[in-house]
Amino acid sequence: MSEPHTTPEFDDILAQCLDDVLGGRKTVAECLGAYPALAADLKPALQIGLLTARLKSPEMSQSSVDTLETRLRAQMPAALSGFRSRPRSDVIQLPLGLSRMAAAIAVVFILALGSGAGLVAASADDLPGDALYGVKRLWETIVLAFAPLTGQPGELWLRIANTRLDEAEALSDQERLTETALADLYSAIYHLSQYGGGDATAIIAFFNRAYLAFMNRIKAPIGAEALYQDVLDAVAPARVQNGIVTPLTSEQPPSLSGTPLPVPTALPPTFTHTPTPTLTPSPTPTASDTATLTASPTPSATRTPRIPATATRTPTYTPSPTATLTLTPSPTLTWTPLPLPGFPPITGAATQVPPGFIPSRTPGILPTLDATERVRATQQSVYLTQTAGPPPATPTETP
Amino acid sequence: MERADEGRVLARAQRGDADAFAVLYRANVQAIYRYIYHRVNDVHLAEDLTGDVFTRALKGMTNYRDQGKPFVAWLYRIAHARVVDYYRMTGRRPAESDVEAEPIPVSTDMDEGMLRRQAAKALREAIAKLTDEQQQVIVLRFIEGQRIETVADVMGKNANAIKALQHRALRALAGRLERAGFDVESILSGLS
Repeated sequence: MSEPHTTPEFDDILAQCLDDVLGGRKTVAECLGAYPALAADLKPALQIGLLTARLKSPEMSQSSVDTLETRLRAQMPAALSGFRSRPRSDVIQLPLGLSRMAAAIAVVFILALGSGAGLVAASADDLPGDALYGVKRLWETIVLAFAPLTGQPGELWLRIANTRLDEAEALSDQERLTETALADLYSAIYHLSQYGGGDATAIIAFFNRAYLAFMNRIKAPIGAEALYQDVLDAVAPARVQNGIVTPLTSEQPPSLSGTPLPVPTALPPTFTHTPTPTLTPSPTPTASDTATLTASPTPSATRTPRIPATATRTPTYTPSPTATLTLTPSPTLTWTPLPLPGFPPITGAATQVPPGFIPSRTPGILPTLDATERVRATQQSVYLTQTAGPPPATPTETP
Repeated sequence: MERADEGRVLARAQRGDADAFAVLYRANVQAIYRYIYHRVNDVHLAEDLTGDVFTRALKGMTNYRDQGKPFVAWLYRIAHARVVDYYRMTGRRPAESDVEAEPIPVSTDMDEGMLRRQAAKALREAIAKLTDEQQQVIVLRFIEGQRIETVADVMGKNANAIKALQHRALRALAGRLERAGFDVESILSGLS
């Protein structure tokens, strides 16, 4: 195809023709006949689409499906029990704001400080270790100092927690994530869980996002697996249910303080807006407000690692060259009739899938785990540490 | 499973009904397995990652919000994240070989079955050489048979973007097979 059409109109026509051809409503020739001026470009795209749709796909063997179901069922009681009610004592109690006048004064003052401060703006995207990161944190400290006047410390902590999470993701992507950055994130989550954000939807969004980030993107730094687990526990789905956050009990992560992380046991039925005694707005920042943004928790000698000290960063799914793998015929080299309505059945000598391609080992068991997977595995201990169902099969299915 | 039925089963699963989750699992496990398989080209790895996807889905059920979209779309998103995570952690590249660098010799007297197998191999390898987004569109649209709207939902894009991606991906595939010496039309005629 040389110099093909690249307009949205052509994309629409191609999509419509593909739907018609794959759905058996039209043939390729009929589609080309309907758009003779575009036929030269439509034809190869339609043909390759049709060919791809007829590419044979393997199916997961029934025994593997059953084994995985057995394993999932073993985890279901724990995983699906998160909707039980919790006592109201766990409800986050949001602070009330001060007067509109005080809030307005504070906002004007903060804006005055911030306006024209090029350093602050320039530091917005800096990460720990970057030149202006200190400026970024200092500005947070200043804004937090005025939070009691505006009556919005919860919203500020929500913003800060999101910022710490952004930083953790970026650092992890760059393989620069440190224990300090994780501890800072934990601290922000702690404060968010204490103050609440005033916006239940935003809180849920943060915790959902954080949990998914830790499950899918953020990797545990070597040597900080226990702290990584603390943060993962802090944002686990069990902590936020139906818009309610079970507060963390300490700003210090358990792995750094030697105390166990309290596991949420029940959910309060509703979000309440009753101020707690500890959240009384104050015209001046407290020492703890400032300290939480500047202090960098460091590991103490009392730290109790939750992960075995022997954890190593072994690549997951390390290929193991076994006879089974090398002798297993590839199921990709076969064709099957197009599983679409209206298409004529294939009568040619289509190659059948050899019975031997079904995996012969126990499926679903990860052979090795790296540090991150090892940490995450604590939330999936059944899946990763036990072999549910029948014992590993011997490679008898290899042809 | 009809969408209305799926919604009811989802609600039951979220209330802690293990059987309901098992129904969702059985209804979608093969689709997820196929999707992953076509992204990693390894049956064993595909099984492992499929298990991982459903384990994560189970863990995330309590936070799942049914917005009337197919449940499988959420599973595809988890599966995509796992595939990306796998390649990121292992440092492996999806493609095992380069179709254009090592063109498959196609002779006129080649047995039709062999030609089809070679073409299938070339097509699979050509898919593996596409960009990540193009691979997603090709697998979801043509192997999984998903609608444009579902693919758009899975990938977080609008329908027009998916149509454009689809067009570019098909052009790339056609070009790669042509350069590898395959006549798609004759292969198709041999299949029909």
